[in-house]
Amino acid sequence: MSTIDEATQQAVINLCLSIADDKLFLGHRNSNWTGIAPILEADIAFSSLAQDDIAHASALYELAGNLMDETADNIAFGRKPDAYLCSNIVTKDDQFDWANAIARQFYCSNFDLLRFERLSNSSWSELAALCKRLVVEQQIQVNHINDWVKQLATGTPESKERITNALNEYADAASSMFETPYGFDLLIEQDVVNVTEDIFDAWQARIAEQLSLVDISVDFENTASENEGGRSGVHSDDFADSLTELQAVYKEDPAASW
Amino acid sequence: MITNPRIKPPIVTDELNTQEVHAFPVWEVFTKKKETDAHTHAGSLSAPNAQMAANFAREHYGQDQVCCSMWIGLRDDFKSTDACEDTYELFVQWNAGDRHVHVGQANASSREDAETKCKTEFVGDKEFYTIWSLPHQAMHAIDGDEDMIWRTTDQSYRLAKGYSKIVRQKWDAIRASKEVDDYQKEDLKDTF
Repeated sequence: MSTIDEATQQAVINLCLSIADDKLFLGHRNSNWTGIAPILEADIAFSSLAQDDIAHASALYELAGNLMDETADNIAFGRKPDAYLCSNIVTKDDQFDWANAIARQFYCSNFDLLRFERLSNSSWSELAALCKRLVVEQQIQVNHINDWVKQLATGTPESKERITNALNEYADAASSMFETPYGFDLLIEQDVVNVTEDIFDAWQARIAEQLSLVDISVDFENTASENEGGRSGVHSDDFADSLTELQAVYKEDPAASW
Repeated sequence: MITNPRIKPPIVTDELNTQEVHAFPVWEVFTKKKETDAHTHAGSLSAPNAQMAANFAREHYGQDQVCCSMWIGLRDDFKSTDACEDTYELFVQWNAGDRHVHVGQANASSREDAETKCKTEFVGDKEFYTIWSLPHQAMHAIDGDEDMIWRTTDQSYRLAKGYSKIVRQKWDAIRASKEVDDYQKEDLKDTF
């Protein structure tokens, strides 16, 4: 990506925002568990992973911010609802059921790792350099969450039933991750995004591999191209609730310096 | 609607019928800040198995300060009196209240033997408080070189000092915006 025209620039911004928004909202949802996770160690570890998600979001907002001439904070907190490009799964209410939170994180973390791996080869060098660093951190999160799925699936009959139900309950929403933001085709043309294998197939293979270890099978269907969702700014009620919570402090005084 | 658990706790049904989980075993965690440091006891945690203990240790003790390596061992393995021929990792607590610090290794036939060797080889005439030893095969290690512990993205917000820098910058800005005389007038000088 040597010269950058306006259309490509907007597409690149959309790509960064779609990933960063996923991470910000997921991190925010997960941080709601701070203080009430089922065991103390999970409380600390899950909060720490939520911080990582928000740190990753922040790095991507800064990258996009350079092109938008805007601060990371303003991008993160100052947009209108339909300008957020996160997928529906990240804000799907977990009802404070630990199995739901683990299932959601399991699907999202594995998808994020795949995205970062692919973007490490991007022709946009800044994005490639950032994603190379994020891949290593994301791998930690994936290992952690894969172990949690395994743990719940091999714990008691009740824990197996609950994680199986949660994985099935979030299967439909997982499809929303694969909707592409506006201008994505242009990025493929320009090698900003490398498409060697369909990302849905690759993701499904990794998920199936983990689940086969614990004898769980979940059916997924990629319906992302059929309906407009979060990546097009069309959001659920759960998203609206999250956004209100997230913007509450910012809206008190957008110009305040922290 | 999001149910905020701090305002309205999630409704738990059937809670009394939930199968009780036995207390998880306790693990001791040692961390190393930089290559030239020795592994030092960071604390303990409970986890169902070594894999989860490593996952928890990484987030619990690996993120509150710079960390390049971690060792994790089951507390019971530090206390075992069974004969076990192995290389033992030796940790000395020099004074009451100090953290145990790794001093070296010794080949031994049991924990008792290992601690005797620790005294002759690493303690000598010096005063010490307690010794811990762990057979090497019972130790789980995370090497930060191959398996990242401390992150590369900005993590300063996790540290208390990450805030002190910002606070200092704010005070500097306030001071710069006011005349020094004003401070003296308000008798705030000592505060800075």
